[in-house]
Amino acid sequence: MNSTTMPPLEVDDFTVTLHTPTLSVRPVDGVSYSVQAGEVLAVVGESGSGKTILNMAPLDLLPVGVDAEMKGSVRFEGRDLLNMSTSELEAVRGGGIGVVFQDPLSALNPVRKIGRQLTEGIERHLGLTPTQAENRTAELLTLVGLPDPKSRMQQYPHELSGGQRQRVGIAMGISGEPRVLIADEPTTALDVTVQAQIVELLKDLQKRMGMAIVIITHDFGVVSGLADKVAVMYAGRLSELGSVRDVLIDPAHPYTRGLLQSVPSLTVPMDTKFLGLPGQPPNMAYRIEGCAFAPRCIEARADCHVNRPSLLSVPHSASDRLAACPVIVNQFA
Amino acid sequence: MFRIVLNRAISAAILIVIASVFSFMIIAAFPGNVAGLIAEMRGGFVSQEVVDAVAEEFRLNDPLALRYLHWLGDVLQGNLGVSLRTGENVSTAMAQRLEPTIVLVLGGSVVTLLMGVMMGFAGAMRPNGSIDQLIRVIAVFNVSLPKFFLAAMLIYIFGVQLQILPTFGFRGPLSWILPCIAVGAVPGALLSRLIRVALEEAMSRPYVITAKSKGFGRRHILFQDALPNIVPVFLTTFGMNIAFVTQSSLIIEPIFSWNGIGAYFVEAARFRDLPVLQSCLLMFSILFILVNLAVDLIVMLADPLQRRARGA
Repeated sequence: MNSTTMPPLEVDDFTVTLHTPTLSVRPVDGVSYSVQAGEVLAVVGESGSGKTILNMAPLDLLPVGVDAEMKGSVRFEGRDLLNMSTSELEAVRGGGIGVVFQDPLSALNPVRKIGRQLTEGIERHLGLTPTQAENRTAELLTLVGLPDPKSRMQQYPHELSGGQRQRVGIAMGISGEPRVLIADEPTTALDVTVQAQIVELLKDLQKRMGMAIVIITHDFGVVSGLADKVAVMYAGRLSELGSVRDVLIDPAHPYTRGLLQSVPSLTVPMDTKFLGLPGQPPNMAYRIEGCAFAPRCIEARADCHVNRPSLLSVPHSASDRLAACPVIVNQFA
Repeated sequence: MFRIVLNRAISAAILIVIASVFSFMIIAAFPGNVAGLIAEMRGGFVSQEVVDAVAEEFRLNDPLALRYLHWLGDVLQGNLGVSLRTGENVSTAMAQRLEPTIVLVLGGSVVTLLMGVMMGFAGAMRPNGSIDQLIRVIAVFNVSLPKFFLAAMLIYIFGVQLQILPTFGFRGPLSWILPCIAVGAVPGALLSRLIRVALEEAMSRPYVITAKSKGFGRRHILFQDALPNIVPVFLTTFGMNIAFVTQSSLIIEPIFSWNGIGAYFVEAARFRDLPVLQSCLLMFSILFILVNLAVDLIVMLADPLQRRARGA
């Protein structure tokens, strides 16, 4: 296995179908992308666009009782996560791939001391003795910006502030020295000022440790502050994938354009009309023919409602960029 | 923290006073002519004079409140009265019978604990797996079984058929085994169901997904993450089960011919030995209240969330 050329994470035509007794939904539908070593990919989309399931399902980290059927492949350093045995997957989780969760209060065990919750993972993946693991934990807590780590380790999660808890959550995510860190909306549950600090922290850690990060977010501030590449999801499908510079400054897909327009800006004149995105995302319980965004799209042609668009290369972009919109791509050409 | 402990202690004390009133009221509420009954039990010719003398001796003509205070005063001095049937001092008789009951309650609690924890965790390892189903059947079977029938079955299997365990009397550790199982099996089955359900609930929490994301398997997560979270529920139920076990001594002690407080209680009820009945009732009530108090305090100390919420 040659890890210098092989991307640590490669997702190929990945589809997730969730089954409940009464209906089946497809929150992830034929998604493909890859993340290079040391690269930060932001997955953006509205609530319910499937971005969390896209990243958690391959690691078998969905809530209890969710019956997910997965197709395609999600390769971590060349090995398909979907074909791994339980024990192989357990070795990858926390070791090769670390995870940071959205709500640090519910993600931490309320009745266990913080130190113990960190050391157990370190003992497991780095093969350290309990004493070494404790020292390593203290180093990690200092690294994520928590002073006086020894006394922090004796505290319970409810004794910390929200920002401190998320720093602990991040320390936990990187404790196994992962090559890929998956961060699921790590700033959503935090105050705005704290959000900026957490973004800075993730950026700093990414530089020091050289790991790839997949950050799930709906906050374009986080995207521009942290990510190299951005994948825009709509109704379980990728609508646009490219460098942050290309996608944020010159969005190709009509959905990305609408999404960026719906971010309120302080720099436009006061009386500018606020442009949101009209309409609602489709009901995922039904099979979507054609482009999922077509019913809300101002550019839509008759053809868009019938044929599902594939990701096409957008001409004249600064770097490789793909958009699932033949109408726009033809305009660019 | 100290204030909470004090509050709990005060409410326990109030409960004990209420329990003492109820224990006392048993004589007042007893149907028929109590003085006549006592005179009859003493034997001899029962004339109106004798009945009147008994009423005078037991202050049965005094107002109820006054009688209660007299009785309470005696109890506080350790004087529980004299058995009508045997003439024994009740305090002495109870002290002599304490050992078998303590063994039964402690042993039964150990059986409850072992059964509850082992069966509860075994079921939670693979929810709805074959072991879980089997344990569920055993638990339902156990709970629906009358205790005396279970005791009789144990005697038949281990005493009569296999002849490996003594079934009669309080004679050393081997003779403790069957009564303790008979007393602990039902609460053990109940506790196992509770642990199983509480573990399943804990296993659906987000922190379990976090533990999974660190690469841990179900067994590790059950013991390291879920177990500490069910401790309060577990301790509370276990405390209630101690009360349940104590109450079972009434049925189990006579079956195995143990001369404990439970058997004493039953005997007193059968012969309408009112002072003994009163004393047993009071003792059991106090025991229940104290066990519950202890469990509440332990739960409070064991739970870091409560400790802080109450300003430790």
